[in-house]
Amino acid sequence: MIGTIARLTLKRLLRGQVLWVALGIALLPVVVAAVLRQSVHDPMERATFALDLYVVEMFVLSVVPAMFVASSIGEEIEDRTITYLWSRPLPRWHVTAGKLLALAPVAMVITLLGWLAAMKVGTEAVAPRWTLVGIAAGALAISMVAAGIATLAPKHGMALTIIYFLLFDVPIGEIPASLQTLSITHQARGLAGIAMHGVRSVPDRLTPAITMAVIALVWFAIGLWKIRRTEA
Amino acid sequence: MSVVVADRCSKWYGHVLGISDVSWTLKGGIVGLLGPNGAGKSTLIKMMAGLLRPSRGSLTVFGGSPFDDVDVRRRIGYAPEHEKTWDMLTALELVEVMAELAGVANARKAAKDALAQMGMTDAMNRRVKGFSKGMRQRTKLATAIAHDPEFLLLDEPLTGVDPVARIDIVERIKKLGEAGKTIIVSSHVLYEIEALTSDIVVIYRGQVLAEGNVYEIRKLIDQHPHRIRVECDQPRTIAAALATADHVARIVFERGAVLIETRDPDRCYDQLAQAVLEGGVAVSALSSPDNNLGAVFDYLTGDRR
Repeated sequence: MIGTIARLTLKRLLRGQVLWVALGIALLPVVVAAVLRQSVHDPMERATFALDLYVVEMFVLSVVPAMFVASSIGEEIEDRTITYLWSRPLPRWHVTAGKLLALAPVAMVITLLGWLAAMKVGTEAVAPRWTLVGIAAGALAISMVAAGIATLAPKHGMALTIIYFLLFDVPIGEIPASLQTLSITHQARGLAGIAMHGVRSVPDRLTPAITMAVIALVWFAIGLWKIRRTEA
Repeated sequence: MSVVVADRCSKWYGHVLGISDVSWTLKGGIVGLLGPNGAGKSTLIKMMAGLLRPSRGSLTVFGGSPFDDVDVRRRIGYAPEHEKTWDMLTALELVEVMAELAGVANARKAAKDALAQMGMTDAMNRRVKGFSKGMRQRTKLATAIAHDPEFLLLDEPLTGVDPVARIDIVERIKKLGEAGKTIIVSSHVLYEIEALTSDIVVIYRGQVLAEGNVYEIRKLIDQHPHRIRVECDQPRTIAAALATADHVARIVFERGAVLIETRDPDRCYDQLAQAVLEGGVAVSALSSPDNNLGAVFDYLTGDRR
C-alpha cells in the first residue's frame, strides 16, 4: 500500500508544476556560484566559495522539501482528496509514509544536483563527499519535519515549514550556543564537516547525524499521531 | 445482521452540530438519505465511511468501527460529495489506484470493469481534468465500486448531472442494488431519491425526522413549487419548450441559465430531458435549489412541536 501511495504521489508530481519550480529554486546556488566566479579570478580564492555556497544551499534545503512534502500532504487534506485515501482499507500512516517515500528522494536528488552544479561552476572542483551526505540527510530530515508540520496545519503547511526553517532553524543554527543543537540545518552542516569558520579539521559526524535523526523523527511522529485523529 | 447501527450517535464540529442523537439501523437494500443542504447527510455518510468519529454515542458498520477498523472499510465503497479529485490522472489510473489501495489483486482489470459498469469505457484514458460533471460523477462511482464492496455510500451522486446522464446513472445504481449491494444514496432532491428507491430516511438539522416510505413525504412536498435550475448554452430553447406547460408556475432567466418553478417535477424533468435532446442543448449543470424541501421540513418539525 505504501508503494502504491508513493507511485500515485510521484505520478502527480511529474504531471504538476511544483517539480519545475523546485528545480528552479535548486539552481539558485548555481547562479550565485556563477556570479561569484565572475567577480574573482584567483583559483585559490575561488576554493573558499564552498562556504558561501553552502549558506545558499541551506536556503534551498529550507524551501525545496517543504514544496514537495508539505504541499502534497497539506493540499490533500485541504482539497479533501484525502477522503479517497482514508476511506480505503489502509492505515492512515501509510499515506504519510508513502508520500515521504516518494518525495523525500526527489527533494534529496534535486538539492544534490543543485549543489554539485554550484560547486562545479563556482570552484571548478567536485563537491566534497561529506557535503553530499550532509545535504542528502538534511533534505530527508526536513522532509520529515515538513510532513509533521503539514499534518498539524494543512492549510498553510508549506508556508509554515518554510517560515520555520528560514526564521527559526537557520537563525538558531548560527547562534554559537547550545540552542543551535535544535537546528537541522546546523546539524546538516556539521555532518558535511562545514563549520561557521571553515572546514573542521576533525569533524564529529555521528553526533549531528543522530541529533538530526531524533529531531526529524520527533516531528514525523507528531505528524503520525495527528493524522490518526484527523477527520475529513 | 444489520449493516449499520447508530446508537445515540452525535457529531459536533466545534460548536456546530453535525448529527444529534441519531439512533438508526440499516438492514440492507437501497436507502435514500434525504434532507436539505446542511441537514447532516454528509456527516452521517462520512461517519459510515470511517472519515469521521462520533463525538458521542456509537456507529458501527458490519459490527465494527469504520474509523478504526481497516477490515470494515474493505467492505465499504464511498463516493464523496465533493468534486475534487486528482485531475491530472486519467479515469483509468484513478480507479485503478483506488482498487489497488483496496487490495484488489488485478486492479487494472477491476478498474476497467468498474468504468465499464459506469459507461466510461470510451473516456477511461482521458484525464479527469477535462471531464463534465456527469463524467466526474461516473468516475467517482467507479472508484467506489472497483473493489466490489458490499456496502456503497454515495453522497449526492446526481448533483449537477444533466437529465440524460441522470437517468443513466440512476439505472446503474439500481443494477448495483439488484446485485445485492446495500446502498445509501444522499440527496436534497426527493425526485432523485424517488427514482432509486421508495425507502428513505429523512434527516434535518442533524436529526432523523422520519424513515420508511417515500409517498407520504412526497405528498407534502408536492404542495410546494419545485425549482429546477438548468445551466446551458440555450436557456431560451429550454424556456420555450416548457413555457406552455400547465405545471410550470414561473420561468426566470439567469446568466447562462434558466430557473424553472414547477408544480409537477416528474413531468417537468421528462419534458426537460426531451427539450435537451430535441434542441441539441448542451447542459453544463442541473440543480434543484432546496428551499422548498427546507420549507417542508420546517413545516414538519414545527408540526411536531
